Amino acid sequence: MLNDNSQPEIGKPISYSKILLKNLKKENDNINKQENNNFNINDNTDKLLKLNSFDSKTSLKSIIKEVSLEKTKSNENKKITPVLRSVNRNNINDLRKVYISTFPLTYNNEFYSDIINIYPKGLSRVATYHNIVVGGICCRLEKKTLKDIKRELPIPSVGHDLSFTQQISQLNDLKLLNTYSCYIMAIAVLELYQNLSIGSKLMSYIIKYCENDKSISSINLHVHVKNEKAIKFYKKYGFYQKEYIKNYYFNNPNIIPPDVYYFQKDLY
Amino acid sequence: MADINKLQSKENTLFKSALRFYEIKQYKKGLKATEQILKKNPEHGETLALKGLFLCNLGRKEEGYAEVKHGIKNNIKSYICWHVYGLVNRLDKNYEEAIKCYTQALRIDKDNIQIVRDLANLQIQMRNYEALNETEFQLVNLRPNLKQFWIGLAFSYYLLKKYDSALKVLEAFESSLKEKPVETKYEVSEMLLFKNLITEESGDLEGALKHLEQFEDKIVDKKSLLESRARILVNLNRKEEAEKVYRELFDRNSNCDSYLQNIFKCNNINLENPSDDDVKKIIEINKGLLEKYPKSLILRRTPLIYLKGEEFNTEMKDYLKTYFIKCVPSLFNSIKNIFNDAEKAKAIESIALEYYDQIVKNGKFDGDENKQYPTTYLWILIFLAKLYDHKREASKALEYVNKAIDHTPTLVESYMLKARIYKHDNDLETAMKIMNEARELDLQDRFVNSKCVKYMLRNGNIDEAEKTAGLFTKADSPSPLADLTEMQCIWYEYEKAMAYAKKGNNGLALKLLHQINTHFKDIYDDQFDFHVYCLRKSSFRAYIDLLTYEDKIKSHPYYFKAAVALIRLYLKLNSQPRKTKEELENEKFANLSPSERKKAMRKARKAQLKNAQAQAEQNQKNDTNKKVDDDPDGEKLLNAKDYVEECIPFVKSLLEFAPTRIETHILATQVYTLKKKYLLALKSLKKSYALDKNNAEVINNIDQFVKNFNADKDTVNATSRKIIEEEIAKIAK
Repeated sequence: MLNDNSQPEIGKPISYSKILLKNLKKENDNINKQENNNFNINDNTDKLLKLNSFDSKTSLKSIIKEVSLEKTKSNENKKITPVLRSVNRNNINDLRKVYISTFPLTYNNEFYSDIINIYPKGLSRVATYHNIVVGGICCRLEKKTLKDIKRELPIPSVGHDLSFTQQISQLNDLKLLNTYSCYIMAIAVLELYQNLSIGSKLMSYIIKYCENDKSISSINLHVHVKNEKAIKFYKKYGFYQKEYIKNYYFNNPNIIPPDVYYFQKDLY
Repeated sequence: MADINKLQSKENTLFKSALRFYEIKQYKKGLKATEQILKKNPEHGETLALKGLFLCNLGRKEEGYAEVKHGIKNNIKSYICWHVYGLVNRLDKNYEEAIKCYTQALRIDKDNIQIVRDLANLQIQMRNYEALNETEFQLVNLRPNLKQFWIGLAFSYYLLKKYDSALKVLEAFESSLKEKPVETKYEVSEMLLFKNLITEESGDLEGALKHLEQFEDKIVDKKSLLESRARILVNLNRKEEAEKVYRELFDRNSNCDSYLQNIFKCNNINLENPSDDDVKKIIEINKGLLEKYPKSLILRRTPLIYLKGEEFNTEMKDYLKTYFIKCVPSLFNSIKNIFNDAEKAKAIESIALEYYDQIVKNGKFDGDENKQYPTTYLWILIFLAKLYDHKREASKALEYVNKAIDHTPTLVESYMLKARIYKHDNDLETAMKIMNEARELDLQDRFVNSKCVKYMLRNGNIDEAEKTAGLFTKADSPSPLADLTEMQCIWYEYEKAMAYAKKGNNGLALKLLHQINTHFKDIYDDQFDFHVYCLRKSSFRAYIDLLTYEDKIKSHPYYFKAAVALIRLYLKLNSQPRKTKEELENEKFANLSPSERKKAMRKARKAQLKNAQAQAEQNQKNDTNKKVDDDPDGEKLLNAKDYVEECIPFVKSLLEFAPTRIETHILATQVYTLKKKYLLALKSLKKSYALDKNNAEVINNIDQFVKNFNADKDTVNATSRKIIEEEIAKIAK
């Protein structure tokens, strides 16, 4: 009677109710709060109402079934999901602590004040897990230069124009001149909270943001050559290595070797 | 001689319009009207009094008082003058004076309803029930068809504890009504519950019960209905029925401690010293209830309080495991009182350490398939840290807290806990720094901010503390302290006073402690408006609760703390030689060389002049309604003639409202010994001795008392001397 909560429900095959929940989460971040065990709200009736408002196709019977399924699940251990929040001066220090504990280098105060004051607010997020800040991402927009988009622009040989396809691709390349690239300055999750899909939540948020903004044509970042975990992570999201930059960390003797990869993900 | 108090028709109308202006609160217009009248009749008493009233309402109190007194002098026989004088006193909360004025006014004009009503309110405020009764009687005779007056009369009988008369009055009134008054459901219900309360208090429990049954469907407040019924049944010793009602109540609120306790009591369980049988019964009942209400928190905690030994261990294991997984921050606090039992405390410690080891080794609890979330481990660390902090083992507690901080450097609670551990270890500087770190992690959280302010004050950083507190106070108030004083933020004033006292700035410390006393006085005075309001809105029971609460307001722990601190400070000042102004000034500059001293004094003088100028300018600009702080440094309080005399009202309050605390009696002994009131001192001495024989202060007091008494033996009269000598012989061995 007292032992109901001893079995956490990770790793169970996803049930219909869980899929419905995921959809609800995408529409409405606030439902995540109710998942939290610290709040004693009667979330079942709320969920019933919300279910009703979103998906009128499902019959009342199935909705009741879902809610009762959820009720039984609520008696067992609820899955804790991370919640993304915007960065403001109240939680910037939490972010600073995360970065200090996960990076071998420290950023100065200007870095953090720029995040609050200068860069667009939508480009930075903290991830909270069970109401504790455990990770964060901050990006900024950089205008593309000719050097960025320069590919092998074929030199027209004397007397001949570029072929049609070559001209089209040149035009496409030049179009990119008026676009931005989203540069990820830092993304990190506290070590003990990794492998819980928090990082992927942060990354997918930024990718979605950039996909919705047509003026952003790619996402870029620097990653240390020996950081295999990170390299694997980025490759999973479609990043590829664009450059190899030597001596990037020239004034930081702790990082050996001081080289980085410049990764890019094209959005169109 | 023309009658200075007669007005011509034009002035008469002006006078009436001035009265109207007072009622609609347009004081400036009223003032103008009165001045117009006074141009022609400069000595008209009533107009002068009215002018004074307007001046007081506009904030010019001294002028106002002067005018009112002038008016009374001119026209002693006018009830208006006395009425106005009473109003003015009431504005200033001088209720005693106001009552005198009203009684004077009534002598002249016995049937003025307004005056009688005001007098009744004042009498309730002063708790003068007998006089209140007479006044209410008068009101009822004047207007026998106004329901309010009858209710007031019934109320006065209730306050005098003459329950039969109260009920008779209510019945008489209701039967005398020719037509049913238009009453809302709420009013009807409240009246019934009030009558029921009177019946119950008069001792007629059966009657009260029948009354409840009879009118059950008219009573809207179901919770009170059930609670009263349960209470009456318990008092009638019909325990089975009472238990049913309590179970019904528990169904409404399955987290209410008092309902649960009453259910146990109805089963004849002795909760103070439960025997083994009792414990079995408790567990059985608890189990039954837990099946019905699985989410109730107190039902999970009750077995932990009463079980012992192996059963306790198993229950505790389940409890801890559940709430570790749920990551509840207040887990330790919820079982703090169980820690009083040393065996149980050890058991809890070993269980927690066991779980800790399990997670460290495998990342999950033994017997589980799946790993725990990282937050579970975090909260286990915090629980262990709190546990060791409770035992005051600072090094172990710090070990666990530091692990928690390494695990998740962004959790505010871990820093707060670390700061607290340092505070308990008496390292206030580090505690303050760490608490500030915690505060910076979440600048929106006012709780952390307040804790940070408190730690800064404890460490003596008064200015910094005020600045930090100012981050959350109103932006347009003149200073953070002003806003907090307005909000009656007692903890802040207390901590600040202690910080000042430590630094030696006794004037400001005294000022702040007196401010706390003023808050309590204000809270008591605030009930004045409710005397009319509650009777009008028929919220009788709430009103009775309010009166009983206000009577005991000084038993609040904050008052106790402040009064003890104040008396101690006064006694300390009394025992030191008084410093003159020059000596105080010289102290300020004691550490500087003579040339630096001159410079510093010149600077101080300049600053003083500047301040005085700025003050004068401000006073001109300021609306005179604003409160001017006439004692910014607490100088007046420091210059009081007899410090011990100042202590006496506080000692009296403490003796009345905190008679079970040993500090009360220790301080009372000291004060009365110094004041040579040996019998009173002896009384407190005996009480403190009975509470704790080995207390160092008590022993000190005994010696001091004996010394002082022996020096003054001859001044005390013979019988007292004998009694005192006998009693002292018993104590001073």
